[in-house]
Amino acid sequence: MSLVRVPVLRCGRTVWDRSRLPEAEVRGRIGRLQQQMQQARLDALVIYGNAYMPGHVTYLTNFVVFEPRKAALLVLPADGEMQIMIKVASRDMVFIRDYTFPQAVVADDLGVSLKHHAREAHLGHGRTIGTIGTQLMPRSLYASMHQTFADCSLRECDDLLLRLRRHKSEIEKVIMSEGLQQAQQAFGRVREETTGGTRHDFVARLDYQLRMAGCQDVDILIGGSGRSSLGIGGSQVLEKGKLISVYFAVLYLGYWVEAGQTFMLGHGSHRLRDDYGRAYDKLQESLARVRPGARASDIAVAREFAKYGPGQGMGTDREERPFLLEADEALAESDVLVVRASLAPSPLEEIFLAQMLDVREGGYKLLGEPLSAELITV
Amino acid sequence: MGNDAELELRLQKIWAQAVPRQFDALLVYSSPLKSYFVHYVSNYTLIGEGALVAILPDREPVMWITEEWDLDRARQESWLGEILPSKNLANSAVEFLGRTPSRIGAIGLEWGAVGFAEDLHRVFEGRLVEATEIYDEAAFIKTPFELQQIRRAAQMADVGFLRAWEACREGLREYELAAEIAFALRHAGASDSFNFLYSGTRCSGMVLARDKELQAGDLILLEITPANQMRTYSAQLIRTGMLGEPPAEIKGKFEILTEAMEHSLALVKPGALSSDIARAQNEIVARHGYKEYCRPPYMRSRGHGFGLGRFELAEGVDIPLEAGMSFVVHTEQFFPDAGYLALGDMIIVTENGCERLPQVEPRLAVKK
Repeated sequence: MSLVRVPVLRCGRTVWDRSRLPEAEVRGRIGRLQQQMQQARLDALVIYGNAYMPGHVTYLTNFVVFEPRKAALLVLPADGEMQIMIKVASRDMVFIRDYTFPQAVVADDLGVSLKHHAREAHLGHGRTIGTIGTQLMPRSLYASMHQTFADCSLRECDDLLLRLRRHKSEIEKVIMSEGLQQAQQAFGRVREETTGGTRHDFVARLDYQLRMAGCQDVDILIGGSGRSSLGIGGSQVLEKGKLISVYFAVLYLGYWVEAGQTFMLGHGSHRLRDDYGRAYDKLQESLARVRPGARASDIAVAREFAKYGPGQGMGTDREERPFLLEADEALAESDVLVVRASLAPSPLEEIFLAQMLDVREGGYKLLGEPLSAELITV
Repeated sequence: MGNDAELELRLQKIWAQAVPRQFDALLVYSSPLKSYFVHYVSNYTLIGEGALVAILPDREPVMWITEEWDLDRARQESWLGEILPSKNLANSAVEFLGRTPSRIGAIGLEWGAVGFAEDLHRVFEGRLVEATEIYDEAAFIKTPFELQQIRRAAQMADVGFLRAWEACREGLREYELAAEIAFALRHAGASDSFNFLYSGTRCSGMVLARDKELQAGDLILLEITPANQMRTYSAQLIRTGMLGEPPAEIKGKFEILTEAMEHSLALVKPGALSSDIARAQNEIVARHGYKEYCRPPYMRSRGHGFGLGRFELAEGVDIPLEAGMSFVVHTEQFFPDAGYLALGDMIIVTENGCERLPQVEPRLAVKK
């Protein structure tokens, strides 16, 4: 179950803000991964990211794959500097080398570049090569990788990096919290200005505010007001007395955050306010069970309130572990996740709520502002 | 939301390519990386993990989507009458098609993850052949409906540029300028957009928006590409401007771009080759002494299409132009003594020449 769309280009603010994400933090991650490699007796890791799931690459380089046609490959030796191969035009490299580490190179063909690098780095006969994210590769590149390492022992090692990524550092939580607060404030401004207009107009105004707040990528779905599911814009007029439900996910300094808000335009029925209260209460019940060690099945809202899925972890990917749909998945301290609840009071209305949190000892800390317990009307 | 006539026309174009290749069924797949494959035969914009359409010659297509919650929207938006949820697209497809089709063309599979591609090949036991080229060839010539979508996208691009130029001022950050462009495009109806820009005194390439503030004397290069419903219905507008009076040297270089683009556009007509258009630009640039900068790594192509049926305008790419093709003709040129300057117009090839879509004039924009 997924809400993800990939744009033709992530063309918002594209920077490495070293004041927020110090290079030392990223180098520290690389170092910890290399330690794990040494323990696992791996000679090198091949790590892949694309525009759908850029997270492994972003986590180790700050680089977010910004276009579906492009992808990135990293080759990390157990000891030594990482090779970063990115499929971009050569004239983009001046920009790229400021956006990620300066050793990044252009790769017109990732398979050819990988083969060339493997030869130069003596990753040949008898070596043990771990692979991460390579199940995302297209068939041709996957086959090319296997051919390059035909004389090596290849081993899928996604867990090595997934474990590191899952435990969010304080720096990561600050970035995600800041991104979410910016996003929520932007939403609040747009909501307060809304007097009507179309769904498409609302989405355009929210998209603008989010990009002005420094978001690199923005995805907005809108529902209610004549539609009982989240959808893409639309020419339908936002009507007074009707609910407007909004899902928005933003990419901020390499990290994804999500919010789900529902409000009413003008005054409507008490029934809708009560329904909002029901969805809100269900979400709070779910949050009350959050603590390290709690199972996803204990936390996830009941199925009838989980139309879009009960939620999951977020970070350098929009959807990452822990997945609340996986019943036995246990939460851990420093997981950062989004928890959702939804309710369709009628075939033409919808309530969608989503709250992000950081799992802490004994419970959790909210990321960003708490949802309103009462239905907001404008 | 039906458009039976347009769907029928597209299916005819697709089968015209598929039948000579002896395909008796087609499977069209979209991963989140490329939603336009499924969109082309369904008018459905993908949200979530994936969608698959089965096309048979003697019945209406069937579509499966992975997000059951999105069924209502899919059924409202799509031209197809039969849309079903599926937790396993490969299994749904093989259960539906059964053993009868002996040779099945797979469209879009190269953009899927290896696991899905392997699954699909496995369940069809050797009957599947990857054949995305069928789609591209079917989409080379746009239908009248598609051309209208592209014309509308070109209008959006004009709006995007005008808002961008109005917003440009000293102190505006590049990402704020990018936000202005994205808003203007979205407000005008764009479903997505692909926008690059540059600000500074010497462009090494148009890139993504940074924190840099625009300054007096900056060149501003804008590549604005709204998509109207899907990537294939995109129109690109490329303009160069300056915050302040451009020096004579820049004006002179820009005149070379203008001359190159106008000269190449004059050659666009049915029967001309895509390479002719590129060569025409290269000749003009070379005549002014910049021949060695008309090839990689400085210059890749002199134009291209978008999405399905995309081709490049480059020497060595000999695609005969036909009425109904649509692409951008752009003169992005690196000058060793000035950096990149850029100019580009979206066109439609007509029976006698071309229809230029932008209303924004192809001149060096100046903001004093």
